[in-house]
Parts: sequence; structure tokens; C-alpha cells
Amino acid sequence: MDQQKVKFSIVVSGAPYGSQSASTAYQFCASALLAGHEISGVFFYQEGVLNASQLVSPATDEINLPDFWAALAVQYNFPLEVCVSASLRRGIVDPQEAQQLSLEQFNLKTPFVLSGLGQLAELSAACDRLVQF
Amino acid sequence: MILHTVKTSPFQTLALHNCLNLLAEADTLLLIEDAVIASCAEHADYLQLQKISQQGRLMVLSSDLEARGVNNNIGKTCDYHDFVNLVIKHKSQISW
Repeated sequence: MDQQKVKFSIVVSGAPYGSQSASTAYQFCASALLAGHEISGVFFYQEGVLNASQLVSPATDEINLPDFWAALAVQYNFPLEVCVSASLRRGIVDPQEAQQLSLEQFNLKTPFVLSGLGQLAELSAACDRLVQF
Repeated sequence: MILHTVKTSPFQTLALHNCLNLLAEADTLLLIEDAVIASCAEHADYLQLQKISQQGRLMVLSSDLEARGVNNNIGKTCDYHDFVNLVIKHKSQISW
């Protein structure tokens, strides 16, 4: 089983701080990639969208989970999809939405992208296993 | 054949209780995060959990036990590598 390469899609619905599930999801992804498997994409939903904020600034002796997600996604070349309606309700905004909503700021971290539930459907169709955290 | 992951303590939510009600015979239960407490302390569903453990269908994430300074009395400990393989082994996964 260890030799077989499996495609995972991941759903994260917990915030980077205050719940453990985003951290669990990250460690699962890192472990799967280390074992030679593939991540088709990570979908951030509900409170999970807060992982996509570039303003998250924990104390220097704590880990910065959004930084870790971004680094892992760049290293292994998989998309970080963020539910747009969950995001806008929680103050996660990309430049395009900021312009459309006449907001002065945006804060979506690179390489996270705002997308919809349709993208989650695609991720779940494109993978061998969908794992929810 | 489903992998059920429970992440909240049985003293906090009914997630474990509800999961046990729906656990089928071919399913496996993996305790992660605060739910690892269920493997080391007496609670309302402990006996049923013990039964699942005797059938070899109860797993507990070791890093979450260590983080809480507790040892499991029932269930088999596993690491993230085993977690990944458990997901592969089962057709689907449910997070409680």
C-alpha cells in the first residue's frame, strides 16, 4: 500500500488559531506528500478561510500556519482554494473583490485563491480520497 | 468501509456518541485532537469503545496523546503516516 501513489483532496474547516483542525490537516498533508502521495488541492471552508489571511501574525516562537500552507503549496505545486462567500463574511478579501465592493484593503495571502463550492466538487471528483478536518 | 475521525472530547460534545451509533462493522474509528481523551478516561461510551478496540477497529493518534500528556488504555496508537494509510485503506472518511 505504501508504494501506491494516491491523490488526496483536503477540506479544512478550522481556523489557524483557536482550533487544532487546520494544524492536523497541515500535518496530514505534509505526511502524505512525504510518503510520495499527491495533494490535488486543499479547500478552505467555514472558519478555515482564516488560514488565507496574510495578516495573521503570531508570536515569533509560534508557528505561522498560513506561511506553512503557502510554502507547502508552492513546494508541491497544488492549489489552495478558499470559499469566497465564507471569506467575504469573515473579512478575507482579494484585490478583485475589494475593488468590486469598494473596500480600501485586501488581505488574501499568495498563493491562496478565492473560489466556490463548485471547485470543491471538482476537487472531490479529481481525487482518490477526500479527507475532511 | 469508512474511516471515522472524531476530534472532540466525549466530555465536551456528543460527536463520539453519535459516531458510535452509526459505526458499521467494517468501519474503523480514529481518535484525534481532544477525542484522544476518550481512550484513557472513563465516560458514558467507554464500554462500547472498549468493544471496538477489542475488535481491532480503534486507533488513537499518538502525537495528540503526547501533547496532552496522557496514555491510551484502549485502542492502537498510530502516527500521521499510519493516518494517511488508514485513509487509503478505507473507501471514504467522515470527520465528526
